[in-house]
Amino acid sequence: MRVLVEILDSHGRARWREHLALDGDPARFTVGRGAAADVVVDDPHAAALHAEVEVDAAGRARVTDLGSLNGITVGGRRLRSAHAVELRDGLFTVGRTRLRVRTPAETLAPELPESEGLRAGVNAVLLSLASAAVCVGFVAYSVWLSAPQNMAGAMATALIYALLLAGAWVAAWGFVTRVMQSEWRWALHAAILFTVLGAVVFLDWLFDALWFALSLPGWPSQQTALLVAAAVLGLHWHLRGASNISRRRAALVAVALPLAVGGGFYFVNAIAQARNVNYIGVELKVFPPSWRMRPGGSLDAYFAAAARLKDETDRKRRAMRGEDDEDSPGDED
Amino acid sequence: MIPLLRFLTLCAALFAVAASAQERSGASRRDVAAEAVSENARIVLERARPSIVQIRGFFGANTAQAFHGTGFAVARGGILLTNYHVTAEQVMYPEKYRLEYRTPEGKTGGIRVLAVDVRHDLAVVRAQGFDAPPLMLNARVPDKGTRAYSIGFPLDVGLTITEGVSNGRVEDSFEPRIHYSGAINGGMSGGPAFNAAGQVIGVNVSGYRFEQLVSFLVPASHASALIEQALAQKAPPAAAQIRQQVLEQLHAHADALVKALTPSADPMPVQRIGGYALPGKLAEFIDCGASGDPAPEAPVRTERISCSAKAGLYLQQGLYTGDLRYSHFVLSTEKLGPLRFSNRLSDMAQARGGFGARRHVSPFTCRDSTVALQGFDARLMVCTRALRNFDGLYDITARVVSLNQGARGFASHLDLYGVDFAAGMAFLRRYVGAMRWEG
Repeated sequence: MRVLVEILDSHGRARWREHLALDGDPARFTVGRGAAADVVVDDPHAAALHAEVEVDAAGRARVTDLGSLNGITVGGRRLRSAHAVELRDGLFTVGRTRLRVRTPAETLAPELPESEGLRAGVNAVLLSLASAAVCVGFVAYSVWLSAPQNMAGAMATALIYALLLAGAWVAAWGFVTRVMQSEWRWALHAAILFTVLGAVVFLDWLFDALWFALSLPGWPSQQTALLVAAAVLGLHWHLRGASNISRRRAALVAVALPLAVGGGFYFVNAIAQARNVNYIGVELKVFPPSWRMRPGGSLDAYFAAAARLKDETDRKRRAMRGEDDEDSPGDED
Repeated sequence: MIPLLRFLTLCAALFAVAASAQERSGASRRDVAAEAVSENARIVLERARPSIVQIRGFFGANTAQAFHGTGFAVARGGILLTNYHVTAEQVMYPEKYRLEYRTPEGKTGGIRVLAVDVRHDLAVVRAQGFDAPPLMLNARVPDKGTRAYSIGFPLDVGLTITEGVSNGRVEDSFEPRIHYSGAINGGMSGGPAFNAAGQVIGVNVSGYRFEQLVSFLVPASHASALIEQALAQKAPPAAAQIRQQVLEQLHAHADALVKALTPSADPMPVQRIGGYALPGKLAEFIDCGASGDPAPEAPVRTERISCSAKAGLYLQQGLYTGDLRYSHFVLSTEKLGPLRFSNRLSDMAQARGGFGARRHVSPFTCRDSTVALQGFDARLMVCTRALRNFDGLYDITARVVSLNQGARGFASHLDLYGVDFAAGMAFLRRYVGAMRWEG
């Protein structure tokens, strides 16, 4: 039986191939660091004769530990003194060397037509261009909205800054992908960045306009919530695109990291704002009067509700009791 | 042409010689007058000198001073008059601050606060071991243009007299003040101001730091009642009693301010601008100024009206209270569409909090909603915070933005400092209720 043993690199691609012509059913070969092994690995963490692999006629491979110190890893689990453990997709690790056993009985994915890879690439480029256009549109809109005296100059400055920042972001993820996957995937990372960013900016604007149209007070944490959602989605897609990380692990990192970092910032900021006696959190965002869909309430109702501010204000004042006076006054009176 | 020019030059030269001769004779006359005036200043200072002390505040057990002002004898037995704000830290934090006096000769001793009048920024104190002849008070406010002197310890550089002119009572001020055109600097607070006869006409209270010689005195007439009250007391009041007096006086000041702005029957006076009727000059003592942007190329025209009661009491460093300010920014455009115009309006409406210090005020709490006013709808935001050391006094900050026109609108700011909550809210309601769209 002809068996192909591949030694893989960290990206899962074959670094070295060894063709073995084996007799017997099941056919057997050994893996180890010593010259006596059928497949010799250059790995100080492997034993001289580390493992024996048997391959039956149907192409199923099983691995047995030959008494190694470090054991064998199969399917992500490290096994001590494994005996005839079946391999999935022929994959196992000896020491720190990943190997794949392939036989003529393997099933392969159908051949890809050449145009499909190209189309996927073109799609990513198109998506990144389209979403970048949306983001550029928003930057231009915000400059236009503020109606600066020198519109062309302000527009150029804002766009250059925005594109530089976006470029740095995409370059950073491209670099990570190059290290992990040995390709850059610019278009993919650009598409992720611009799509997520465009969605956040648009939703933030949409909510502001909606609160205004419905005569409702704004939601103070709106921007924070949108940013956290964007960070979770964006990080998940960036991680999946940049590495071989599993969907579950990527989701875990994408949720945990923004929550930890964003939550930390939010917490520190909230404390600073709560301590700042001059801080007013309300932003009065106003849109054209024709967008309004609900009339204003009565002054009576407003001031009846505003009377409750007193209790809240008194509560904050009481909460400050017992604090030390930090600053001592000085100078002439 | 040339002879004419030569003639004119000659005439000019002759005139210059005549003018310089006149200058010389004028100067010699003035020198004599100036010497007489300076001599008078010397006499005033010499007479008053034994009765004037520096008042110094110390933090904890420190021997280096935290702040200082001036005081002067108004009755035998070490009874001194000074500004309330010189004693304020000790009144509010008696366990942390102590007050001492120091005579120009270097004699020192302790000071005890007997009575305070926060509204007029006066305090009567007793200086232990000090007994100087009292200075004579003259309750009459001197006329504009009469000579006046002010004495104190500016910037800790020793006993100093400055010479100036009384400009009579400040016109349209909420609390009475004498306008003294002379220098009053930090450290002179609480010192006496004299007329040419050496009688005390007022107490140094404040000056504009970046203006030239615009200073203010509390008229002496307000001191008499306070001195009598202090002398009538059998025992010096406890610190808590004085703080209670301060609180009551602050409430009285704030109530008087809000009352003065709220005539019982009349509607609030309004000013018409850009199609809107907005609260105008609400009382005589309110100081209003208006300005606009004359640049024709600006896409949005802005007119601004700012009014201030200038009624604030300076209590302690970083704490002004009992005051009111409001401004309207009225915007219109012919160049911008409704979306861009409303964005400009939003910028004008933002509230930026102010300059409160954490030891004096609590953080803000806000409410924001859209309300129907007379003929138009507006967004109304109100934020309140409490004065930490004074029960029942609040800062109220409100913003109003009109929502009825695509190319016209206003943002109005109202800030009330240290007022009763209900009275402040009632005033805000009248203020907002007076706004009207007239088209």
